[in-house]
Amino acid sequence: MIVYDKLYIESHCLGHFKRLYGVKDEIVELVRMSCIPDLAVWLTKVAGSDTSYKFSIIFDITPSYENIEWLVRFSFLPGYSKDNDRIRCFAAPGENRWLKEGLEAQGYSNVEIISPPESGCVTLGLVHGYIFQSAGSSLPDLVVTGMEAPVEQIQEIVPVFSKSEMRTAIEKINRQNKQMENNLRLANTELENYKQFLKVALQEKETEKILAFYHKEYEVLPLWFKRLGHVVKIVTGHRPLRLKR
Amino acid sequence: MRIALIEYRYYADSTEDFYTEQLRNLVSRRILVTNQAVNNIDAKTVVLNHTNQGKDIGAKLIGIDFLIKTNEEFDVLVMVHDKKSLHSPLGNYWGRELKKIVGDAYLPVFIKAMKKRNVGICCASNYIKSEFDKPSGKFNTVNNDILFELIQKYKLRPSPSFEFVAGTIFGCKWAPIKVFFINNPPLQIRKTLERGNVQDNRKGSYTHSWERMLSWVITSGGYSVKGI
Repeated sequence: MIVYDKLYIESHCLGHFKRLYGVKDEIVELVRMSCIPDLAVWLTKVAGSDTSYKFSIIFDITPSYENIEWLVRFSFLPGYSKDNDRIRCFAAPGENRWLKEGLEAQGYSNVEIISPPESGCVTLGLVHGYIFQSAGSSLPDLVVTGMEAPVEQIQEIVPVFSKSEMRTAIEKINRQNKQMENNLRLANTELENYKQFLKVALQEKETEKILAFYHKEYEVLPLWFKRLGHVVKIVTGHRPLRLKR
Repeated sequence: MRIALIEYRYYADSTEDFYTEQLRNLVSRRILVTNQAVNNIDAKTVVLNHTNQGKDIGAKLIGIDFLIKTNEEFDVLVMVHDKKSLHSPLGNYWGRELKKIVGDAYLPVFIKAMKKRNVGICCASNYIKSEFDKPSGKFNTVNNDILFELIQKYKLRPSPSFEFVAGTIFGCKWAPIKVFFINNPPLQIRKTLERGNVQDNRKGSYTHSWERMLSWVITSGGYSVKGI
C-alpha cells in the first residue's frame, strides 16, 4: 500500500488510470511539451477549461528562451499545479539550471525541477512510475509514467490511497468511534440506574426487617409495661420529667 | 469596437466590481490576473495567476503577453487594478478617480474618445502627469536614470512633454501596444521588474519606470492623451 500527497500521471496513462482507480482530487496531468502540437492553441484551450483541471509540464523540448517563456506562460494558468510562488516542473535528469533560472526570473521563489530517478522506478500492480518527496513535505508524491495490462486485471491493483481518501476513511472511523462512545455512555447510565434501584430495593427490605423486629420486640408488649418503662427511664435519669400544663 | 480588459486583482478583500453590466456588454475578452478565488466567471473571462513581481505592471504584462500569444484582435485595451496605494493617505481617492473611466457614468465618454483616430490614451484627467524639466533636460523623479536607459533601449519617441498616466489605469489603442510587445516580449520585460511591494520614494525602480513607459509606448506612435 502507498499513501501519497499528489498524484502526477502522464497524459497517455490518464484515461486508463481513471478507469481503473476512479477519479481522484489529487490527480495532476503531466503533459509533455513535445506532445503539444500548437502551444498557442493549447494555451487558449486550457485557459478556458474547467477549474478542477490540474496539470504540470514535462519540459522535454529545446531549452530556448522562447520555449522556457512558453513554460512560464503555462505556469500562470490557474490549472498549473503550484502553490503561490512555489512551483514544480518535470524534466529529464541533467543540467536544468536554465529552466530553474527562467522560472525564478518571473518571481517564483521556490522552483523544484523533478527528474525521474535513474534507478528506483517502482511498479505497483499495473502502474509504473516513481516516488519523490520534497523537503518539508509530510507525504511523498507519486508519478505515474506508464501502465500496463488490460482492464480485466483489476484484481491485481495495488491499493493506492490518496490523502483525501485517507481523510475520508479516518473521518468514518471517528464517526463510528463517537457512536460507540455514545452507546457506551448510555449503557453506563443504565447500569447506574439499575444499581440505584437495587440499592433502594435492598434498603426497603432492611427497613421491613427492622420494622418487623421492632414490632416483634416492642410493639407487642402491654401498654402498662411500656409506661412503667418510661418511669424507670425518668428515675434513672435517661429522660427528663415533663409535666403537661 | 472590440475591447480587451486586463483587470488585476491583488487584494483578498477587494470588493470592487469593475466589470459592470455596461462594461461586460462592451468587452470581448477579459483577462483577470489574480491569485484570489474567483466566482462567476463568464465565457469572455480568462483567469491568470501571477507572482509578486512588478506589482500591477508585472500583472498587466502577463495579460498583454496572453493577448498577443492567443492572437486575438482588438481595437482598445483597458487596464485597471484594485489600486489602494496603502502608503498614501490619499490612496482611496486616487483609486476612485482613476477608475472612473470604466464606471457607468463615464464609459460612453470614454468610448467616444477612443473612437477618435488621434487619441491613443484616455484616462482620468487629473492623472495625466509630466515630470520632464525642459531647461535641465531631466525627469524630475528618482527614476530619471532608468527612464533614459529604457527610452534609449526601446527607441521610444514620446511627445516632447513626456506625458504619462500616473496610476496606470487607462484605456488605449491596442495596435501600438501589440506592435511594441511583439518586438519586445512582455515576459522578457517582466523579468527586469522588482519583486514585492517596491516603492520609488528614495531610489528609482524599473517597475515605476515602466508605469511611465506604458504610456510612452503609445504616445511614441504619435497618439495623444485624452483626459476625462
